[in-house]
Amino acid sequence: MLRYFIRVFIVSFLIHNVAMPLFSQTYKGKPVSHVSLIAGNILSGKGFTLGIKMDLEPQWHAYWKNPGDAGLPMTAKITDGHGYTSGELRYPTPHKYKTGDEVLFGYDSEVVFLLPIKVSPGAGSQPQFKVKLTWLACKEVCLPGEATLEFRSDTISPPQRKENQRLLDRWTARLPQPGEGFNLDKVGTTVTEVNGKLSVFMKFLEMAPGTITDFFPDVIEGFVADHANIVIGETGITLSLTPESKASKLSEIKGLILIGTSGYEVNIPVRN
Amino acid sequence: MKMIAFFLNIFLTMLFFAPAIVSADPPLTGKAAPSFTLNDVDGKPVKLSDFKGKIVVLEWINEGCPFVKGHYENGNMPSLQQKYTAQDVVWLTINSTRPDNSEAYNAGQSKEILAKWHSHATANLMDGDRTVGHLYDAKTTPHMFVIDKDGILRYQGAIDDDRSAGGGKKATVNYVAQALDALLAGKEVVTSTTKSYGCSVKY
Repeated sequence: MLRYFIRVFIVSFLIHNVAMPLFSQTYKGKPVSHVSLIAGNILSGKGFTLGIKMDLEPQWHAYWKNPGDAGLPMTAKITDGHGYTSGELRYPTPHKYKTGDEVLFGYDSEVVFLLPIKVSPGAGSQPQFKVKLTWLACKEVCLPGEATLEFRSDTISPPQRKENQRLLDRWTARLPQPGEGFNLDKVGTTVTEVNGKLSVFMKFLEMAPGTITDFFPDVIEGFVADHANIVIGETGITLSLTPESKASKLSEIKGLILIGTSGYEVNIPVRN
Repeated sequence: MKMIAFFLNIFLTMLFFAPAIVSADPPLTGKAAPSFTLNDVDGKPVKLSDFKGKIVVLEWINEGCPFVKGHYENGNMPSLQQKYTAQDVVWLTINSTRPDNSEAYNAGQSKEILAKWHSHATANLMDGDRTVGHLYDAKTTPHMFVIDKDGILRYQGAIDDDRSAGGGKKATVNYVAQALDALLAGKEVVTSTTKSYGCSVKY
């Protein structure tokens, strides 16, 4: 009898941690975050967007693709796809959290990351796969999270699909938009070197002064950005970068221009 | 005259009791490493200048941080410490966690945990008022700094390129080992700055 209960306990534990579409992260017995997979309308044989919904308890936060001065971003990958594969995870426009000299980019309360799902010919008509997720949640302490959640489209009821689609649409609207509409592609750069650091001034040539609210840079390979000292001027942005080595070469700066609270993607070529 | 003396007195009093002025600019690689004195976990004062003529590693630490735990519990950090202290390198851990943080450990607890983790650091320093953390602009735990025999900062940043809480298991390069090997061989440190990763320092 005891063996039976132990077996039931072990199986229940494995199901909870491997196969359930909801994972709750706890710290000292208290909830930290709840992560679940959501999908709305799926057309048979077509790709779709899977939502990774994260609900964070008060004061806990998770991170954008560039977490800032500390932290780690959410990652997601299909592991057992049955003909379904995942594209690049899309991150909604994050918030900026500033404490002293430290700057972090991330999310609190609720966020839905969006994972494009591609389908191969011959894949089952009802998507069924596992998604491996890793993340870091921080408050006064940091807690790494890892879960493999199983997604089965046939278990989602029509009303739930409708509700999920509304949520996906809301978070899709919070994805960064292309910057061309605001002439964010009309930009000139000036690079000056001071004490071994590069000061890059990005001047927007066809934009009304004072339009830009903030700038969240992507991770720039070969350089360390000084997130605490990004200067937003009337006509442009100044970013300070420390090269990792003498061989570091700056060719472009990617990131999000904030206009109000909306994010616009920029990819600014830099000529040294 | 009395009025002038009164204001002079107030000014001098304020100057005397003013908190230590901390440089707003982070230390630059290639420039002198800022000097400091901190008590170790036994309450013994340790000065950076005590180690003039030696290569010094500064490792920002918080025993409650999963990134730090990862590097200690899989033996990565202790074996690095052991390897390089055996070559006369000085290895100082610095804990700048705010004492009222829920994951802060006092000196006695810190000593106990580091002993359990088989730390081979030369000394484990407590920076309870966070002055030295701010002086070096330490952003994460771990955050590593390597100082050469002349007191010049030669490396600052991540311990390696793993960038996970796995304790360096997926690392392809250990930047600290790379910097130390270069300095011990009398060569230039090629990668002198990287973006550190880990928990934020709980100032």
